Amino acid sequence: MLLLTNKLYRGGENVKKTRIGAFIMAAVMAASSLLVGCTTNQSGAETTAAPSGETTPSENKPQIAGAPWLTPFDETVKLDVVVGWDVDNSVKEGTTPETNSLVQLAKELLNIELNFLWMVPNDQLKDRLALQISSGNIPDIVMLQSGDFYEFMDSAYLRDLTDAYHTYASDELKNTVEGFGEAAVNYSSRDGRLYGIPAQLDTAESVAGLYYRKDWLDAAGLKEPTNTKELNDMLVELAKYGASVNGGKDTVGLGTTSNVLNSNFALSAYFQCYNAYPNKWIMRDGKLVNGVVQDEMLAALNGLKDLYDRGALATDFATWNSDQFNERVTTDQVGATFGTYYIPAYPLNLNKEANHDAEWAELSLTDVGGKPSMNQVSIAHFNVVTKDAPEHAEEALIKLLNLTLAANLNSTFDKTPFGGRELPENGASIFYLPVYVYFPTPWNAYRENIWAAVEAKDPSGLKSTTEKEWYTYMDDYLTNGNDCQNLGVAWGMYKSRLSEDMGIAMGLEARESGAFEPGYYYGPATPTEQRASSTLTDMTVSFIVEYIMGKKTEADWAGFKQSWNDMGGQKWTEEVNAQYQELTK
Amino acid sequence: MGQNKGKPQTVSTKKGRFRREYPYYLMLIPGVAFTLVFSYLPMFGLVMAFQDFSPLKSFSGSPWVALQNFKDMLALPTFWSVVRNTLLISVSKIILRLLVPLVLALLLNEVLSVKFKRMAQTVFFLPYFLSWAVVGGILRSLFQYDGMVNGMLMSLGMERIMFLGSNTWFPIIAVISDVWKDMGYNMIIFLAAITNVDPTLHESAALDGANRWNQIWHITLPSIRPMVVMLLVLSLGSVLSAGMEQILLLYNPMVYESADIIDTLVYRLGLVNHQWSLSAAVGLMKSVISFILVVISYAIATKRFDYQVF
Repeated sequence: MLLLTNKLYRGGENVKKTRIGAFIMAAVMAASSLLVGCTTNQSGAETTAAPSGETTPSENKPQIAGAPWLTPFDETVKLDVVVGWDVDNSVKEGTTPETNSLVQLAKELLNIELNFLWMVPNDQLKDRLALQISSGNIPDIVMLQSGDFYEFMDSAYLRDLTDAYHTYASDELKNTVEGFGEAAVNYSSRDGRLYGIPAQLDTAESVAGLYYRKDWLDAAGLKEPTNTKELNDMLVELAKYGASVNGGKDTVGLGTTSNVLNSNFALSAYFQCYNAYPNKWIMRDGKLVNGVVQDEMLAALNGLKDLYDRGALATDFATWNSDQFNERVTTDQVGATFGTYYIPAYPLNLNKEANHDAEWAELSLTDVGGKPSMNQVSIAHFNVVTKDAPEHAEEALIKLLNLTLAANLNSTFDKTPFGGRELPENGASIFYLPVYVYFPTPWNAYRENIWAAVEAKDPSGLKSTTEKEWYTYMDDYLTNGNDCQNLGVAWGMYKSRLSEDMGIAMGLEARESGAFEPGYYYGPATPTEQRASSTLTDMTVSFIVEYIMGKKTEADWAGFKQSWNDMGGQKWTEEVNAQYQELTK
Repeated sequence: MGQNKGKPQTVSTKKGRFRREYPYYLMLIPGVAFTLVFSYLPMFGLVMAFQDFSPLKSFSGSPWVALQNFKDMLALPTFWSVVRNTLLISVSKIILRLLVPLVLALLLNEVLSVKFKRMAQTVFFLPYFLSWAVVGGILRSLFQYDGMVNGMLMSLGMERIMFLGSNTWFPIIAVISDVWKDMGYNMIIFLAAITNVDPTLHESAALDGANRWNQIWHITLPSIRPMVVMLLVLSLGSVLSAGMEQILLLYNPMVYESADIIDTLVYRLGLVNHQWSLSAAVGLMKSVISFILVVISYAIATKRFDYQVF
């Protein structure tokens, strides 16, 4: 460069060459800058963005008997979408959201074409979507979390799905949306019109229990606790006994991660043993109150402090991330942990795999005098159509959701038209799609069918792929015990889904007996919630952690409640009550 | 050229100068365009700090709320502790990021074995290329309660320390690890500056009886002072940026009190909680303070050290 500039002064020829060179360099640099700018919108894969709303004549229009909702569009409906995904090892290797065979089926059977604007790992989806929304370039169909959904609905940014839903929703989709009562539809509607299709989870799946090392409890000569004092004693003893048999490694009675208010591997369910419900809206005297400022919290906090002081909680309990937690569970360093139905299938199964002698059992929170929390509704997200989407996008969304349900392994829909392309091994994944709903697992029916099949040693009566799969796990584990072929998976699936005294059994029992505390309100984020909830949550978590570690005492409790209310908690509570009245009137 | 001294330039001289220099202006275009698009254009987004902004209503439709977001910002219970943490971590990083590489560069410069010198440079520079995601994992393994460092302490008969869960230790770990990771970069710059010091100065000093220490103190350090001042001035602009990536990867509820910094607060408010306006207000406050600090430090650098960038 220096040489080049020196030559600049030495003659016209050189000057001319230099000018041309500089011009080319400038052009190249400008082009590369622009390219960099453009590619910042891509992630994971390069996609060619076609203008949304463009339609082309359909080339093939297969008609599926008995499924009017599978009627294809006459002209291709092109939809701009975004997707969050993680590689699922059960899906054919190399499959991406774009090559997902369900996307191909949507094109062939329904004449719907998805144009992927970007694809990111699931843990980046929320941030990336927030950026996308802030840029004003919003996808045609998208999954929205509660806060965004209500903001979009209030801003008239969503298309009315009522007519499309009533005309095109399959029975399976209607069952998914309405099968858990009318609350979900109410939460998804405004003035009687439906603006989102809620993806619901079975509320029994949100019930947490205490999973503990039964082999340690038995070997230590202890009994299951019947109250919270005995619960603490048990956790302390588990820590001591565990350390005596695992080679003296650091061992905790109760394993947690840094997300202390979560249901899984955290402390939320410990509070429920004391009938305390931090971060849940519970009904008291006809009004909704936030459990975090109810005085039941104090007894639970004292219980946790007692656990910490006696070494049943790790000294650094709130620094563990999920990887660290899993590592310690696997290596016999955790005596018990709270969690919902699925944790035997992951990560407790890692421990079973590593140590075949490990035996886990589950204690219901009601056994120690508490009541588990169960959500009134459990909506993971809303599937919506945004206002600038192309014509027929509402119908396309409903049909896509129909397809995801029909292709689900739980579905008994005749899958012949799919030609095997609905199977994961052939490159299908519902969770690689930009919109989906969960297939509500018919827990009671499945469990009864599979139990009967195992007893008769005859799985021929099982209809769905899921039932057949679960049957093999249960049969394998019950027949071969710890010698079964794939112990971790077989044990985990059996204990989480089919056992009579563990996993989903506890949630189903709680729902049936009514022994649970309903978690109310899944409404729009109120103005104060938007402004203050993150501050209030940080404040709560800090207070809990500091209380456990002895930096805060009972004398600080009144001050904490006052601060919580002053920082917006009281106003938030009033707003929630007003909105709840409005939604349920 | 000397004849024209003091006379006003004629139009033709100006034209000739422009003709000579326009290739350079052309070369400037991409840089200027890049800066305009990615640095100046987004500044219009700062208006959301004065609005109750909703992306769906855009800038034109969102209501104006004057200074309400700044009032809300000051009312955040953690605001002042966040500012304090940011300043503490950041100032420590700035000082050590200059001192440690400087000492390393001076030491390496004295090493006679070229092979060892090159190897040391590579070893010191290598961590700079590691991402914080990787370094974060390494730090967790090293400093967790049952990690390697505590294992060593125990084997020496000492008590274990909760490095990542202690409000005293966390900032120290954050600062030291940051300095360790990035020290190679400034070290290379200082080494290059030291190499450019006229060797005859050292030779004449040696003839006058100066030892190595005297040479470093009276020749090397004054010679590279402009470089040190420049790096200091440049780094003062980021005095309110204490290293978001690093803190996000390492912090936890046990150390919110000492580890929550402005960037993590903005991240939580904006991207996690969608409080765009409040987040923008905090960001704007940070930018304004940073700007003032840069101006002040630049003025001091100009006055005290006769150093000028512009």
